[in-house]
Amino acid sequence: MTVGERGRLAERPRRSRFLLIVGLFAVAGLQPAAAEEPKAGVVIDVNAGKRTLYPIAVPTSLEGDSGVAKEISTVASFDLNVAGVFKVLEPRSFLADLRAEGIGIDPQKWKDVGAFGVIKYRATATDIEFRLYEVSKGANASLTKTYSRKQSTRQIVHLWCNEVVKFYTGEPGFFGSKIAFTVKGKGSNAVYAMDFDGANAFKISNNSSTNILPAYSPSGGQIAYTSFMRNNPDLYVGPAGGGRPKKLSSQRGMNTGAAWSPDGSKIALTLSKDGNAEIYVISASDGSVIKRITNDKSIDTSPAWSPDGSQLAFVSDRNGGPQIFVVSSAGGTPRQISFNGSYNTTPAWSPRPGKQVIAYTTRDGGRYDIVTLDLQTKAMTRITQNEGNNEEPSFSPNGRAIAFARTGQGVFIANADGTGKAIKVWGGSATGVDWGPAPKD
Amino acid sequence: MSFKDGEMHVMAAFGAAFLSAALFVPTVWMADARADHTPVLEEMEAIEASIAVKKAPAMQPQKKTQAKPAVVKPDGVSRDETKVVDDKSCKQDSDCPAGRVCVKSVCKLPDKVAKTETDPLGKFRRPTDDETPTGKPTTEVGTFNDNERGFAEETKGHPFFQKVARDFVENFEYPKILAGESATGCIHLLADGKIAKFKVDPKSGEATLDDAVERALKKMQTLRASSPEAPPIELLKQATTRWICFNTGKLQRAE
Repeated sequence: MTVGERGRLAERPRRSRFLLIVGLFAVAGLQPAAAEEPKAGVVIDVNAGKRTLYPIAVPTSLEGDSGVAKEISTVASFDLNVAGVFKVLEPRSFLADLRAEGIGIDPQKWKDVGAFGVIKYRATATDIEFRLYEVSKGANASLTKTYSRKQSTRQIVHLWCNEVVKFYTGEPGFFGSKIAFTVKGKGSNAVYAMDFDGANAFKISNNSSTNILPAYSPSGGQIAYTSFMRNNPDLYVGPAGGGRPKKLSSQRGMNTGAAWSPDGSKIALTLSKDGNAEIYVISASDGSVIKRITNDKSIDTSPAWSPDGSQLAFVSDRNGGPQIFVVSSAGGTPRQISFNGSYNTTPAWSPRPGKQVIAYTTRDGGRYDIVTLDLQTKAMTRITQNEGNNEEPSFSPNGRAIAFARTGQGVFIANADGTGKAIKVWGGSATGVDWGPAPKD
Repeated sequence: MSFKDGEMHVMAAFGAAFLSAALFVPTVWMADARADHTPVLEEMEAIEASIAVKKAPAMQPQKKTQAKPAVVKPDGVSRDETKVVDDKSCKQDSDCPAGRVCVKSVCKLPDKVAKTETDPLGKFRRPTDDETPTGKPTTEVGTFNDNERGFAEETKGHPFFQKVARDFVENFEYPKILAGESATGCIHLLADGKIAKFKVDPKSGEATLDDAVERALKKMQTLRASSPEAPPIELLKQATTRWICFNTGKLQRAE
């Protein structure tokens, strides 16, 4: 190696260092604008966006008894699905490692599947612990509750889901409430009651005659229904859990379509004691007539109280076909409120505070469907369409859902805002649906 | 046997009374009998009898359904709506279509002719009514005033920014049971249309709303990474050197 060669070799690192620095500057100069911090922005007011149901995940716990864990997630998923405010996410999409997570959550994993809320639980032999997480608020639970397993698992889950609904909406949930209905049989009809989700159905009436149009008292302790057991359609009131009923009204002719006043002291019903079907209000304790509400040669039936007890909705054919009318519960001149189509029957008043919404059965193109009418805005919402014949709506205790009978198919519940599809909760030939009050805490 | 006038009247009165009684008594008796028979519920039948008034059939309310996707028409020869008709060649005015004149072997509109031709006496002419501008261009919202995009809210701003804002709206989902103060989400676009980075600034203070905005921005970033849409050349600097932000406005709790 010559001196000159050595000199060149010694020069190489210096030259390459120089080239490296020049290269870095060149690269830096060619970098796109991404590296620069953008200036103050252009703000576009969008003032919109999709207002959706609340996406919530109810993964099946991998801890403890798998049978109980499965039942909890099934019941909770059903409850939250029909609550009218949640969208329960499909478990197959979950990315989280449930075994590693245990009763906690990894928020990012749930964010990635679109969940806003996650329900976790742990069932032991003595109790069930539930936790509600809001994904955006991290790994700390927003709501925690532990229930002793003195009640059935199903009842405990209903209680927890009511807490979840209350947490988000401030309203009581309707999980654990009951629905009464008439089951059509050969030669006789019987009054039944069941949990709102179709579980635990049992017979209320105990005779071989025709028993129709059940109505829960506001306390939920009694059921009024019309029975032909003494050959005349008389009104009976019995314990909601079943048992011997008491005859409350046995006027000559019809004693049908009982509706309890919100305070439970009165019952509005149809009597035909004077030859024509009219709306009356009777005492809920002794059946004595307090007031005759309608007086018209037409047929007036199906009374329904407004939530504050000041008004009654009913059906009358005084202007031609059957239409819905509203009258003061102190009496007065009724005003027609339904004008769609030529056949509108079986009104039910929404219990939502501050709202005046009535659901009823309407006939459209030979089919019967459920609609709601807002008396303040006159806006109508269709609850069912192209799904058989649907009749006799009844609101859930918080007014977010509607139960109704689908001819020949059973009892269904649907969101009261018209979104989503109705869910079958009882299969069979049912009619005369009445949703009972909210369960007691 | 003969009757006097008075006797005849008496007999007629008796006869009329008898006949009336014979008709009245069975009628009353039958009506009472009908009233005794009160129909029971099972025997009753509701008969619908509408008043004979001819009305246009009212439309029943329809159940809420999702809107159908927009129909995409196939491309065809008639789709090019921007194509301008070629000026026709001509030798004289009669060779041109109605309303056009032949200028230098080409059919042209008369006003174009006037502008292109030099008028030696032009400086001595007073302007006619046709040449005097009348009125002022309106700037009312939505009214056409020669601005290619008009002044309507829907057409305000450049279509590129409208498209980006629409992307945000489509990806922003917020549960209707929640309310929230306004939050602002911003993106930093690259020249190729991809999103370099995003931020929520200023935040609303409501963790769920800020999170919903962040989710929307993240979705936009993912979508634009796979199918980027570069800003038009005239907006390149404006769109890539500044944050493009979307303000949600105050969100009310929906029932």
